[in-house]
Amino acid sequence: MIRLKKPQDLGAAILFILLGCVCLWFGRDYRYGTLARMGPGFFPITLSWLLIGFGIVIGGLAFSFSEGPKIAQTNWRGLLTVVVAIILFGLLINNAGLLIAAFIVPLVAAFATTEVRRKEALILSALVSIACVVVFVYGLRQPIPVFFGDY
Amino acid sequence: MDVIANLSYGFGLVFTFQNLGFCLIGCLLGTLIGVLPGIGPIATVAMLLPATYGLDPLSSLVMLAGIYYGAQYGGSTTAILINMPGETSSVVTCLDGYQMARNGRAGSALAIAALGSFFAGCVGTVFIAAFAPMLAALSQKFASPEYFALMALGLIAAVVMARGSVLKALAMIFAGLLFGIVGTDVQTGLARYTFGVSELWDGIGFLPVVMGLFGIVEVVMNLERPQERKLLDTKITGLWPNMEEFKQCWPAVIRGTGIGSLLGILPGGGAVLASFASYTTEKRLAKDPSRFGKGAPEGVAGPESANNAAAQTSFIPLLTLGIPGNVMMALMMGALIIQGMNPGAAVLDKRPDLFWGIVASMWVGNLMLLVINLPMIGMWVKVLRVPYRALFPIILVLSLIGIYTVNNSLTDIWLTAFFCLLGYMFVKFDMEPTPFVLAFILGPQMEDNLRRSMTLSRGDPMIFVNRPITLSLLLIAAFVLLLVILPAIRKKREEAFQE
Repeated sequence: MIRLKKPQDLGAAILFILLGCVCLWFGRDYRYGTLARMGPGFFPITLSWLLIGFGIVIGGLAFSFSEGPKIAQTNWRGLLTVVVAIILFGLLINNAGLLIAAFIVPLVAAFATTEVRRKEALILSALVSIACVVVFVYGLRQPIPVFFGDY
Repeated sequence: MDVIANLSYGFGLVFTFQNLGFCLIGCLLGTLIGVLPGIGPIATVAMLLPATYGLDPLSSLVMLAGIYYGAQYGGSTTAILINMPGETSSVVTCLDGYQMARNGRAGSALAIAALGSFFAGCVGTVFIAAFAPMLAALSQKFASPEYFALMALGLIAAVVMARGSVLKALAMIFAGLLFGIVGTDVQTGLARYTFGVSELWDGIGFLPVVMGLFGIVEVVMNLERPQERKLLDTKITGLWPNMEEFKQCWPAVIRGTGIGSLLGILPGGGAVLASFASYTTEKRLAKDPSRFGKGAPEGVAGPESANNAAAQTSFIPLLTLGIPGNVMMALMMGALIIQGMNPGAAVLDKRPDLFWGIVASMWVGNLMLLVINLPMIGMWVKVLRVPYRALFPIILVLSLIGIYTVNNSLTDIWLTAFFCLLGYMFVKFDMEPTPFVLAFILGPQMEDNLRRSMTLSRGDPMIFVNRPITLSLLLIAAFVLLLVILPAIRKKREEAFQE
């Protein structure tokens, strides 16, 4: 009976095949050319097919031979909070400025762990925000808006 | 002697108030962040990169190199005191360093690590001064086919050094090369895989990739496996090793330095591998291997010397050939490019001041670390008491500011979020990110050199066989690849990684 033995490898294989297919699809108009005159499509299309081929082999081997480790459980709270914090930084930095971005981002990020202490996170974020403005804008003279587009 | 003349030229450049100051700042910042667990040297350098933009190239590289070594010193401090490696190259230091600390020899272990590193740093500096010009001279003869073969060898070496499945590591290379393609095609001007985003015309920035895959994923993974930190409460007394320890250590230091210097040059090698190799060697050579893991001073001296020597010599391929051997060097390459320089043989040719300045600063940095760190250990220990829940939000926001300030580009922030998710999947599916990043960095050059070679030979792939240097490089690549695929050796490799 066929049984999945290496779930990690199957995951990797799916990722590889997916990436290969995406690159083939969006690269479909790139001219392939010949060996002597390689077009812009030669490298990406060859690589995509290689990636798909390797993906198929890795995926196939995931069903055979020795047993592999299971995929570790995901801590969604940690992962998603961090990603949300990154996106918030992008949304805030140009519009609201560094003072606010450097306050909100660590504050939100602090909630990535269950150990969060609200008061501590608040005070810390405020300090970080002020320190960032002093160091990056006044110290290192980086062209970052400080407060609502005000340089 | 050329070597001495060149080194003293370099020292002359570094011994200015400004450069020494930046070297000191770099070493202190590096140690500080190296001591903090959960943030490695890669994230440290990436975070502090914006601090160097305003500086002249030499000062900025001196500071970055200082951060790099400092982080390593700091990493071994935590390895010894709390059995937690501040970064991967001090993983093996935990084995015996922490045991030494438990036996009441913490001070001695720290001193052995610092002195061994310093010795290795001195040798590494001379090693670079002696060999880099030779390699640079050789690379002057290189044309496109040679560069293509060299990069292929570098990537294959990265596969060999990667943990886990060779097939997956190879596929990671293809994936990395594909991500490297994004941007304007140099030869036709066609924008490839840019999806209408004009900021992608220059390609995906290396900082979002490196920070996403390494720095930020590291934070996420630390949150996932909560770590207890047990601080040794014993006072650190007796900062000097006793005679017996000294006798046990010095051969280990010399062997470690040798191993590290050689492994550091290899692409895909570097500090981590060197420390493992040195530990295994010391254990094999020891009269009584059972002492290892119970506080054998050689187990600290060897790996600590090896990782520092390797950290230095891994600059050689970057500075002479323009090929980064590991992710850290890829980051240094990024720093060079930001400073408007193209790493490679041209650095030595056109900017000898920069080259020799960096080399000399390595020695100065090591000396500073020795002088600063031993007396300051008490302070670093206090830093360890900062809880991670307070630390990681700061790490995150500093990283983001660092990424943002390179181009003042929001695209880079969105890319960071993307690569953080991708990197998370890499970890979950046990896919090694290092070959991916190296392939990503080398991708554009590799494609360009392949196309040039093929134009040169009018489409005849025999061009790679007919040129002696190319042929030997490719044969070496094929040989090492064969080695890891053959089952017998694969087993050994797995054993080596387990130790």
